[in-house]
Amino acid sequence: MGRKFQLVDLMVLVLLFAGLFTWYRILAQHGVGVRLYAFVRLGSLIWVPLGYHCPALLVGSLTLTWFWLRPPRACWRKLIVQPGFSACFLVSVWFLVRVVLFVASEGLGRLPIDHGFDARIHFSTWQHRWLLTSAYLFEACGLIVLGGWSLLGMAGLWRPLATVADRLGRMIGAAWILGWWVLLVSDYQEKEWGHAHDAKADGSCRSVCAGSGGDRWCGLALLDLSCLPQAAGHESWRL
Amino acid sequence: MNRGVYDRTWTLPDLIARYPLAVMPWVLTLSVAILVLRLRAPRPRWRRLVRQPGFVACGMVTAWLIIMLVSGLVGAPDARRWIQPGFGLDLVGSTSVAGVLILGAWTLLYVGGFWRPEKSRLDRAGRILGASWIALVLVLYLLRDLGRQ
Repeated sequence: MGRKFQLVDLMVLVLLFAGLFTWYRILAQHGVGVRLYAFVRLGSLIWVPLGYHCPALLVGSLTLTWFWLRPPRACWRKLIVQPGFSACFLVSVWFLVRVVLFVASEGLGRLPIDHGFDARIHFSTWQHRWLLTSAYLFEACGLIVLGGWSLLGMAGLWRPLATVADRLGRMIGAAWILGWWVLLVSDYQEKEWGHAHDAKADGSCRSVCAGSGGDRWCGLALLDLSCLPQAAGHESWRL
Repeated sequence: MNRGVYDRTWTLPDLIARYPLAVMPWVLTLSVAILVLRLRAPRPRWRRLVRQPGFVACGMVTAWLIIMLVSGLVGAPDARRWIQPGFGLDLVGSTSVAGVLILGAWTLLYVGGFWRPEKSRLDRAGRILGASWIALVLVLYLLRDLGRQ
């Protein structure tokens, strides 16, 4: 980065952190939107802590990308081979993609035709749809970082710098990958559990979800961290 | 008689929602096949190979398939589950997001000036498949936002 801290940097920082605090205020008020299967299990509750850490990681990635890309900057070829920069840059790219997809889905959802979108995540305002389901919106950030880092590693382009910014970027990238991996494994455990109940065919599991079975989600609830110890005390937490 | 998913009237949104699942087995198989063909001798040096977008796309998909297999085995340690049809379907379904990996790798290749496509059928096919994976994942995420997945 190697340049003076300017007024515009301060303005961007204030804007980003104002957005972050607003995000956390709404999360504290409503809880995290969690996808529910036939029953709630610890596997699905992993979304709660991930929902809380998503905004901080996202704002961290966007901030670092901003500081890296402000002129005067190094040439792209030198920037891209820094794993810290590449992680934050790719998260910013995915953020833009998600914004476009979110706007498109909002627009399509308002069209006066019958979509049959029966499982749409219902919140009263688009802000709540965006802010409370952050873990869903940005779960692929870990994946896009993994793709970029794999390429850098395979092509022999992994050139980390001993700077605070690059180290921080690498930590953020690793946190995204870790979060994505935890979700992946918990999702498989959720499906495993659902299939086990389907195999029993006792009907009790199906009735909860109107015949959708255990591996299809059947709703969305707002949960906060206080739910975790409550759920940990039970093998399954029936809705 | 319960006819499952066939016991309903199909609408255009239904068909769009099923498009990824219909396309995925094809692009998945072709991606793995092209990677294997690309790795057969004579082939370019590794350094040149990993700058070819077609090879990178197919390599990412195959690596992703292996990751999903390992995750599935870790997440569902019961060996009886592995031979159930649902496990294979989950595995194929989970590969749908491999487009995000390709998007990440291609972005770095392109922005960093390392994008070196080869004028061969294999690399061209790989690029088409990579673009298909990215389109697939974007459609999937749009459908998910709309509540279809």
